[in-house]
Amino acid sequence: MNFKAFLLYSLVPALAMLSSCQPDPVPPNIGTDGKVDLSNYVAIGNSVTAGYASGGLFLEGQKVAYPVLIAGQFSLCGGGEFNAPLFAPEESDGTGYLRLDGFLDASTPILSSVPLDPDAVEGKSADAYSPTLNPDSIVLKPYLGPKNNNLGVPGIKVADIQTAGYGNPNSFFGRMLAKEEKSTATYLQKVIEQKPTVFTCWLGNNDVLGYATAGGYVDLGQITPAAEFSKNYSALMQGLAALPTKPRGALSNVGDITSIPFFTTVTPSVKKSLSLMGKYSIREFKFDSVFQNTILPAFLSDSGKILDTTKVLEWPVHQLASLNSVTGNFDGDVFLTLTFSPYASELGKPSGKAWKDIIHNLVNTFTLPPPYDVYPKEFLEYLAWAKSGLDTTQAFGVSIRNPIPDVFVLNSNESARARNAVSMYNQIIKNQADAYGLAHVDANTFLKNITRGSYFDAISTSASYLSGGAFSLDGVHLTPKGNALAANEFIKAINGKYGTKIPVLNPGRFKGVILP
Amino acid sequence: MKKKFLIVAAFLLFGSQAFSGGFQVALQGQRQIGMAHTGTALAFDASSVFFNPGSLAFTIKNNVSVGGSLIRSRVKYIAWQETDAPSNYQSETESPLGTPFALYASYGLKDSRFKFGLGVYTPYGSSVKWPSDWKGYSVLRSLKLQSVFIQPTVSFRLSDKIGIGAGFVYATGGVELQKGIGALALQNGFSEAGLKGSANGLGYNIGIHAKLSEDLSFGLDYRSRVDMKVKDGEATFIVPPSTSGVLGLFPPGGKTSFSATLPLPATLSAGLAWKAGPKLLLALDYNLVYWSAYKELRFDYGASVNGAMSTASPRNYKDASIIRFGAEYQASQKFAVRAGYYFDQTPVGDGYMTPETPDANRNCFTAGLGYHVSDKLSVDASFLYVEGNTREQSPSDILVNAPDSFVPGTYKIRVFVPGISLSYNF
Repeated sequence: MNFKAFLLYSLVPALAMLSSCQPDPVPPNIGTDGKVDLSNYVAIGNSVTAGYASGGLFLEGQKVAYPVLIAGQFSLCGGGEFNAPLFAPEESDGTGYLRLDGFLDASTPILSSVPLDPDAVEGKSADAYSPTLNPDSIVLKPYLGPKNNNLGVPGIKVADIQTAGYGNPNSFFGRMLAKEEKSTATYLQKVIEQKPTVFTCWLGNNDVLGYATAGGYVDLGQITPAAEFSKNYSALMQGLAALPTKPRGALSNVGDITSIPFFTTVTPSVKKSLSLMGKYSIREFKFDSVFQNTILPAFLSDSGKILDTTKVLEWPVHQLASLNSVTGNFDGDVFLTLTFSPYASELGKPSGKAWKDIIHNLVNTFTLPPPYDVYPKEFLEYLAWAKSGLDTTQAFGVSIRNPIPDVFVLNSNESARARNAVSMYNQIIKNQADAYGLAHVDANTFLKNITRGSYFDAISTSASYLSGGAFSLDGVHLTPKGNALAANEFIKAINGKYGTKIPVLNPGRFKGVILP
Repeated sequence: MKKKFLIVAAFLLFGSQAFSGGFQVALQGQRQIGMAHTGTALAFDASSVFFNPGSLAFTIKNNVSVGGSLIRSRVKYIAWQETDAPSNYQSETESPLGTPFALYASYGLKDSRFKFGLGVYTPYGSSVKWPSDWKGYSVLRSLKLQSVFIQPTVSFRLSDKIGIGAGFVYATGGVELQKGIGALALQNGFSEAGLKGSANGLGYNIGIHAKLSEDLSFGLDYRSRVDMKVKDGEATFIVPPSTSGVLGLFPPGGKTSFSATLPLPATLSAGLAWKAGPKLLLALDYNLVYWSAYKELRFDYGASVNGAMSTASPRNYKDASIIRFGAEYQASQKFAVRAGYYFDQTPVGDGYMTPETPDANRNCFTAGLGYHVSDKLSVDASFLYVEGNTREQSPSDILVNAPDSFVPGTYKIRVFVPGISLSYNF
């Protein structure tokens, strides 16, 4: 008997056994079973929907926006073509974005800006502006590709969606429009024109976020009143419901401000360092209407000259909150913004760094020469304060003469106002979803879960700035991994509502922030 | 041909795939494998050094045998399904060939009641390799556990009916593990942690063999637990430079040492062998493997890794039983055919199924052939087929305290193992 025969005799009985064995497990059937028509998916939303990340909109981010990822899953279930208004390869840097270059020390990242891509801009007038500070002031080249399915417009509020000519002040919308539409079209019209068969809508963040990220500094962002929010949101839903395509869709609510690293990163470390120093209160320099309307005019001339230096101590420096020496918490909901992180280490020391940068930024933003009276009011206020009230030899953030600039602080009144707005918006969104039989995505809970630190299905996330995985360098917008997680929330809501079997993504293959 | 095969077998190092419960490798003698790896009450040849040192004294001739197996195993994975979150994700382990081997020699003077033996064999080992970008890459990319036991043995025939034996075990081996770090993306892929170290440990193997009658034998054997200790392993972290630099999350240069102890559990075996006819031999074995020794997989580092000096992941294995039925039929003077079946209970409890050992109860079928080339030389071949039950790891089973050791989903393991050995009597 030779070796071959040997093997043969061994194998035959074994092969016979095989036939009686269980089959391999296989993935379940996927599809819509005709319950949702995925042929024309349109994404309605703001910067998150557009794929904005790390403080800018650029090609790489656009490609992993959550609607693009959702469309990819739709395509496994008979979904139609989905085009996003991508920047062309030669304008891939888009508006520019933040880049992480390294770390000064364990808690101080070094960020730099990739500049606005000159090829993305129409005309030269925009060169002087910083797009991340002032997106309204740049004019982007129009998107010339095929029919656009991703109507994510950075900066858009629910308050804006019925504004005719919104394409002019917001070039992210403007670039989606034909030239002749720019001064006439509303966002709502463009949505309806697309005649979606299925849509996702994640709007409302900007109606409160601008206020919150500016530390409640009203001139930089106002909260949309609930009535206005409700009116516009209902109009959008009505318009969609009236379409002959009878679109199905999912409405997402708005995340609470406490769930994003923009507010949760700096605050705990400030608390810690303050109590280590034995300081239990911090002060904020806060512009309020009394100051603006009565005190300021009393000692400031029209040309920005200070008339009465004795008024300095009446300036609106408020004790923010006291830090409980036992619990280590503030006695109110006080948040310091991520933009405050370069100055956190200056707290309690004589330092003028934060104020210097504020003035410097203002000068850069408003590149107008004197006379001062054409400057925006807030600039004058800062300048006046810096010239006479501020004493940078005092302990920063602690002394009444060296408080924290208010753009960095969301005090407890302001945070309550922001939260209140979020809960009103979310009620409106839920009511609309119920009224029109649409799926509802609870992004508020979703973001809170991410922030709390979760580990599920071999993917970990947390609210840690940079290393948390879900949030990009700006602390507000999502990373590719965050987008994949968000896409799954929408898919789950649609499956749950309509009984479809659209497969979820594997978020583990998407990246968070890439550390250098 | 045979010579060539021997050389090949010697060069192919062991490194076997998890295919018996936990990471036990039940491939210690080709003749026994054909009979469902029974052997506690059998006294075939020098392989009793492993199966039961008490039987060795009843082997008639002096013997040298060498054998090896080729393991091809495959684990299929399907992602966890929820009604509103179906997933079409699936993955499958790549199948590195495992090559466990066994080498035995026995010697006793004619008419002496003593018999001396030496065994070099690989009773524990595992080699699992998932695609490097599979869903659970943050839990495991690949794991290789190896062990070689060297066991000098003495066996003594107390009477014509009873033999006892004992062996001292020196075990040497190693561990090699790679896992991704999904939280730390690199420009190209994701970060990775790698652990590599050699290990050794000590143990023993004692047994008793009783001839209950002319046709019926009984055997009892206890193989002790061996703690494989890694003293100065090398931990390597391929991470963003800043994390091993200014951020101080990982040791400078991404390298440090580690130590670990992996318990290879004790096994108690009892067996019966019955000469049911002039040509038919039947064997029944029961193994109790004391897997409860394996509580956690713990690594202690020489420097802080991501803020901790150690990592531990619970295993909490349970003692597990194996029941084996084997038969040998002497078809002719030169040929014997063998068959067997065993049921292998998993030591892995619900909620503890890891990608390193996606274990389940297994039904195992064996077949074998023996061929006497001459009075002195024989060749044995075996084939083992292992069919693991499909098993689910549900997210709710996953322990709250260490979810990062587990990947929810459905797993199924299947293994094919052909093997061959040469045995020389003198």
